[in-house]
Amino acid sequence: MSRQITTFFLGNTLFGVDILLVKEVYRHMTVNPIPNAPNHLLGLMNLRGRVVTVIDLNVCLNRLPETNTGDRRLLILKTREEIKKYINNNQLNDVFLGEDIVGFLIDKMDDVLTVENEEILPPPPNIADLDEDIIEGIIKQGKRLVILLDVTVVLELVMNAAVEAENQ
Amino acid sequence: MSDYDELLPVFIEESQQHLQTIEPDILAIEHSSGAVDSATINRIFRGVHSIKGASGFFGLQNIGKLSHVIENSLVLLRDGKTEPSSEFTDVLLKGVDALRTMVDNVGESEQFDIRNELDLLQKLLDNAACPPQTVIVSEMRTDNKGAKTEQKTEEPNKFHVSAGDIEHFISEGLHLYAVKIFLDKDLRQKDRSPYEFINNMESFGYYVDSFLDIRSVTGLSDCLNNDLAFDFLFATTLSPDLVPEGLELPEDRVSVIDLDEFREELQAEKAAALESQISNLKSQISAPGPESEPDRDKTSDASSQIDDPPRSETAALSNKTDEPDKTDIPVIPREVQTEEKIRVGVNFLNELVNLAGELVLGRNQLMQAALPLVRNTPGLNPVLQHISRVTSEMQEKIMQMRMQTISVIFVKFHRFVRTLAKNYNKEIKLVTSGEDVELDKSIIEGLSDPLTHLIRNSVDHGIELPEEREKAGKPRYGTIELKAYHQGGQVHLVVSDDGKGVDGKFVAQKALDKGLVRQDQLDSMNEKERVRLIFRPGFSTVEKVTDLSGRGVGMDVVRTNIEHLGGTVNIVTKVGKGTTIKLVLPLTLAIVSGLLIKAHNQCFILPEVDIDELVRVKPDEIATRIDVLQDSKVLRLRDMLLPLVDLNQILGLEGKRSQASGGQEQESQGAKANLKRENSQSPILKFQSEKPLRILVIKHGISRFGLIVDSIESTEEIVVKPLPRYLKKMKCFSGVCILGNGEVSLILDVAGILKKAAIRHLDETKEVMKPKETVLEAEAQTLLLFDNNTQERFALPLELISRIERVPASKIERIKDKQFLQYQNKKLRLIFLENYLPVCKPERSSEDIIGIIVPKQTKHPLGIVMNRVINTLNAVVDLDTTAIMAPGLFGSAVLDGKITLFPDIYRIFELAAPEWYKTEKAIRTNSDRKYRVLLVDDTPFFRMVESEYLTSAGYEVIQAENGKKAMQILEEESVDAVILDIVMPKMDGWKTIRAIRADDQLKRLPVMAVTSLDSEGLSQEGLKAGFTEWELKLDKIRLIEKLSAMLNASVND
Repeated sequence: MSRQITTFFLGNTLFGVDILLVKEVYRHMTVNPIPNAPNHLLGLMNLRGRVVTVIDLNVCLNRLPETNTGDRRLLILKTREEIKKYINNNQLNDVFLGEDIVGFLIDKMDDVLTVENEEILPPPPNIADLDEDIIEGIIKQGKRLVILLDVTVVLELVMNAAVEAENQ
Repeated sequence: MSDYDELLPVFIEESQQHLQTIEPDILAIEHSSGAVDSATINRIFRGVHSIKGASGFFGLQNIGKLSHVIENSLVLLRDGKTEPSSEFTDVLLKGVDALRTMVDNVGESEQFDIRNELDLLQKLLDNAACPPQTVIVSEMRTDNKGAKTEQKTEEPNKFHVSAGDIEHFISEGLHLYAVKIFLDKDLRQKDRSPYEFINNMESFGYYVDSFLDIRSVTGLSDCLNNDLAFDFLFATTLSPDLVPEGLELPEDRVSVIDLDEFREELQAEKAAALESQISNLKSQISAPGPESEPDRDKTSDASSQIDDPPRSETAALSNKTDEPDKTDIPVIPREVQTEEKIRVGVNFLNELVNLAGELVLGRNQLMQAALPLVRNTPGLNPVLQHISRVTSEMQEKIMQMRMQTISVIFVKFHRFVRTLAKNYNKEIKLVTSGEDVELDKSIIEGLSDPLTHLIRNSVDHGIELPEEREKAGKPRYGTIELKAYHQGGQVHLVVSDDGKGVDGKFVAQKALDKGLVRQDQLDSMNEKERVRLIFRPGFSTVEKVTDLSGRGVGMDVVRTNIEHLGGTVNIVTKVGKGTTIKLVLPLTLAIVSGLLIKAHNQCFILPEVDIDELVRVKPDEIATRIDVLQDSKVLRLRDMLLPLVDLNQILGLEGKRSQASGGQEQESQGAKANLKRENSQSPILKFQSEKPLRILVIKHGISRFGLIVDSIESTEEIVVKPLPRYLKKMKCFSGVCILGNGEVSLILDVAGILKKAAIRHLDETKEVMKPKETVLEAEAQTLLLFDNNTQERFALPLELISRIERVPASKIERIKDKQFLQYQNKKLRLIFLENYLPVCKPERSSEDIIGIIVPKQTKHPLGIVMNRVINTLNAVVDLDTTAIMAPGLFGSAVLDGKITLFPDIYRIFELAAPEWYKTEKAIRTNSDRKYRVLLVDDTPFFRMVESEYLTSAGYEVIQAENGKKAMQILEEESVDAVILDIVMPKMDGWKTIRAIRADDQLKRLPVMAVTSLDSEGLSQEGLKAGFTEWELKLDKIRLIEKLSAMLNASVND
């Protein structure tokens, strides 16, 4: 079975997320900050009447952001409800997205890749100073490597960080 | 069995809906007493029936059994074989309850013990005149060559039909069919739900009984492989060849049941029944019984016709006998014509609400962008208008979709009241009105509990026992009224009873016993306030704890619940007459009214429900009104010390404030404002003094605190959205919303803020408060600020001023050294302040417009000339009588950062027109002792002025700032007269005079009301209440005159 992966840059590393999880890529953003929130919770945004929690993926993954902010986009994810059918049809692994809409702030969008399941390799240990939990797999695309993110883990990370911030 | 898993929720949902309508219908039948409405019975019947039918699909035998028995009982009722007596209804309701419990817990329904209900119902059936028999019918299989195989064995897979039903079918000329459908083949593959199927069937016939054929199923694997067969019995007028078509089934699934053998039997029975019925009648009937027989035969032959002859025959019969006959009841259950409906999930709906809101926002932006183009683009304007209108309408309709009629909760109270009244041996009638009032779904849900509680209270505490009521001259049965109506964009819900009412004294005593209030607090309460004590937490008036009410949680829960919904509760009660409780609620919860506030340039919403009041502390007041107590800031607000919380600090925004520059400004400002206190310690003062401090007084349960915010922007109607889960742990927020400008704003959570600020023991602050600090207890007064275009600024209490005239200076007429103005046909003598006070002389030319202040209540027409009115100001005046002194000047105070002079206008009048004001010294009669006058006024300014007047007139003056203090003084000291203000905190003039007149020692004491309340009726009322005199503030001459007259009168008494 083949999958389509949306790829994007954080700094100069290429990351990927299954395209079935992505609702849209959003360009225009006015984000209202949340006081007392951990750094990676950038704020809230109004997306056509729905509230989007904006997460700075660079902060989440401990990377330095690109200095050129002109290409920045929001990768708006779907909600649990919206991906239910893909999970039921086994098009997706069981990803937990929750009921709230989340937007990942990324530095630059890249192509959409179509890959076979076999092409997704297990993550080698200690890759690119990332926690290996957060990586679902590695895709080799010619010379380039794409780190496929495990969105469930990323979101959990955000949740836990929010708890810690409040407890401090 | 996954097929079932999908279908089961549908079954539960539909069954619950049926049960919901069944209950009120049963009650309606009971109320109709005798004249049973057949449409209602049929409706119940259909409901139970559908449940029974569908339960077969899922093999829910218990539900099937119970609904079956209920159905049978209903047959009795329908056929007039039993009366809808109270016991009958009881049993039916019990059955329906059990049914509901089982439906709600379908999983355990098979373990549910329904023997009791079954027994009760069965007893009913047995007791009835003609117990309906259950006949077991089996299909007459076509492949069985027409031979009927009547199996009388107790095999489960047989249809159970009541004899009454069969009789019914025959008399209606219905055919009975056994139909077999396969769940998978016939329904799932054709994408039909069992319900659809049954509904379809019921549209042209009458569904009788069903069972699930599980004989072929031997194990779970079978279940999955084999298609389950479902058998049911179906009665219709359609002929055999049409049935399969109508049901969209292959022909071999439908077989005809032969009714002939029942027919004969039944007819004999029926005729006998008829006969016995008729023989019971006193009237003479010419034997209609036998006649019926041939008729019935005829109808059974005419297979597909509805039988008319028996009906006309029985109609004739009933004409003669006036007895409702069973055949009178319309027999073909007709579908009630209802609007077609589609089920939509609430989530889906909410999303639609969101989108509609967003559409409105988009519309507004579009209008703004397109407006400049309208002029040059023909045809654009109509399009815009159209879009605008459609958008508004669409939003409105979408909002309406969340609305439900309040009847949803009203209906259940009929049953509730009935049961309760029975338990209490009371006779109570519940009258409801306004069931069609619509409210948001969430409010409806939240209302159920408070309303239940109120009704329960009315039944338990309100309505008396029938005997008591008769003694009190009331009808035996009490009436509880439940009413809903719209008023002023809100929904009013009224629960009223004509019971014994709530006794304020009793409530007060209870509250005292329970330590909820102190005696002195009680003393200053009026009846209404005492009754309101029932809303205090921990209050419950009932002596014994019953299972119904009086569990210590009571009205306070009602109140909190209603307030949670953004509503208010009010109680009006009259002992012996009854109690009315009114709930006022917003139409929708989704839209909440909130205050948009800013903290460090970020917008937040604070729900209006949480806000008690807004306080603005001016820079120069900060020192006096805000204190630091044990490291936390407190605000002096009237007689309370209110803990203060800085929102910026709580939200962690404070660090970004530029403290340094703010501090400097504070210093200069502090110097200018002549602050008496050293305040560099307080962190608030450091950055806040150049601007007035905005404080929201927040109430949360019993605690109150002040929240300091940077600014208050506006009130907003917002749609509350849940907090995203990533923010759930942030206790300071309760939700988010999208503002009119499209920005996302967080909604502040008061409880969370409190917790974060770690404010404890909020109530104690009241004790901490220094008891005697007169300035604090002072009420703010409204002042008129004016000047003469010179450096000096003047202020007069607005209460002293009757009006302000603006006239051209040329109108002033001069007579010798006095100036006059023609005013209302009088010669108004004009007074120039500069002539009497040590102030600069203003320059006035005759072209100028000048202002004339006409004071209230002067014996002689006098006016004060000034150049312009600056403002009016509400402030607590800290009058300084020493710094600037002059005759005709009360003193000075710093208002709005400027020194302001307070002219003593009456003194000035004296100076200006001594011929009018021969000051009368207190005429002391025979004793050397000065008259001692108790002066009671909450405003220090007036206290000072009046005491000044009185002392100058030779009286000894004792002061008190409210009625309570005055009463204390009166207890301890003897005085000759009292001068009493009316509007005062704690204990006002009315209460004080009542207290005085109630005291044996004091009841003859001369008491003069001196007030700024100016109304003819009031002075009458005042004299009636016991005041000796009623005077308006603040005419010195009249005050002294009246006082001495009053004293003389009392001496002569």
